[in-house]
Amino acid sequence: MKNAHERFGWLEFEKQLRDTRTRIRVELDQFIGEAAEDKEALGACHLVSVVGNDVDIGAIWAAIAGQEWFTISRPEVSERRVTLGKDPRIFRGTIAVAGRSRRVRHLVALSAQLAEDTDVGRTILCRDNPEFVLYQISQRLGLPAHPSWAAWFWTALQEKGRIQPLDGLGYRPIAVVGSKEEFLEWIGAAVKARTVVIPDEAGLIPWGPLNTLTIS
Amino acid sequence: MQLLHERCEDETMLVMRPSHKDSTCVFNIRHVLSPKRGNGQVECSGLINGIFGSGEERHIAAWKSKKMTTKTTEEEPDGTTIIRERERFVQELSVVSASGETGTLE
Repeated sequence: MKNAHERFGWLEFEKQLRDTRTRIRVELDQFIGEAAEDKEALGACHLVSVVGNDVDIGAIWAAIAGQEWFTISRPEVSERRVTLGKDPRIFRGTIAVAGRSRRVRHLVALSAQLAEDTDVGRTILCRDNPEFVLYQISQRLGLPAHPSWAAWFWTALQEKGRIQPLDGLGYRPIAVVGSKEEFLEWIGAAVKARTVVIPDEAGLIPWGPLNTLTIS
Repeated sequence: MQLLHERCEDETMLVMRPSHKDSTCVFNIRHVLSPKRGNGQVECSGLINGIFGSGEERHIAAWKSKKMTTKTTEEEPDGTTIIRERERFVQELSVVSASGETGTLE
């Protein structure tokens, strides 16, 4: 893993009022946004995770709540303007850093599309690991699925062009396009064709640990 | 639903009501567990998502809670239109059987 100063980016907020100009810059450690070349998305982003001091994080919180636009800059990537849009979910916390008297404030903000678990026909995921993708989609949509189907499901998504790569920092995000009804239909057809099978052993579905170490 | 019987002995948290012990088939669960306060928590938390039955009756099931909105429109004699929106949560069960049949119950 690279040192923080090599992998972190910056989130910058600038606001011009009548006679004052506010400029706040905080460190950005994780980010998920629509692909930069996607002109329809118009700079929509889904997750920002930033660290900074109390005043800066408070100002960023107010700006996100006010649906303001930010400038994101990252190592080796050109700057871009993004917004979390309407009704974002914002979480704030405090991190104690060894050897420092002042604590660091941490803010994570999610777009409404990422935070809500309603089936809108598009699911945003932070990683592209096949088992993680199937697990997250089954949990979010309430889809009956088994971990042994992960490779088949991933191939089906790729063949049907349902995976959209997203822009990310600290993640390899993707968007999976499809509704619960569609995926249920795929699973039914695959079970019928014996492409995938329901295991003989009755019991809970053994998803296993899906932490960042096992899926990255 | 054999699994529930087995787990009830080991994990008492799963038995939230005496009626849960009567859940003998996943397809009957709506009749056995009447929609009273507290019911559906075990299902919708994903604690009993799994594989049930054997042979041709083998199936895999998953539950999920879902918000439903019912919208009604009333026209008053004076021409006023009253729109009422009622939100409620329902439990949705999706099943895939070994034969490939799929179904969703609410």
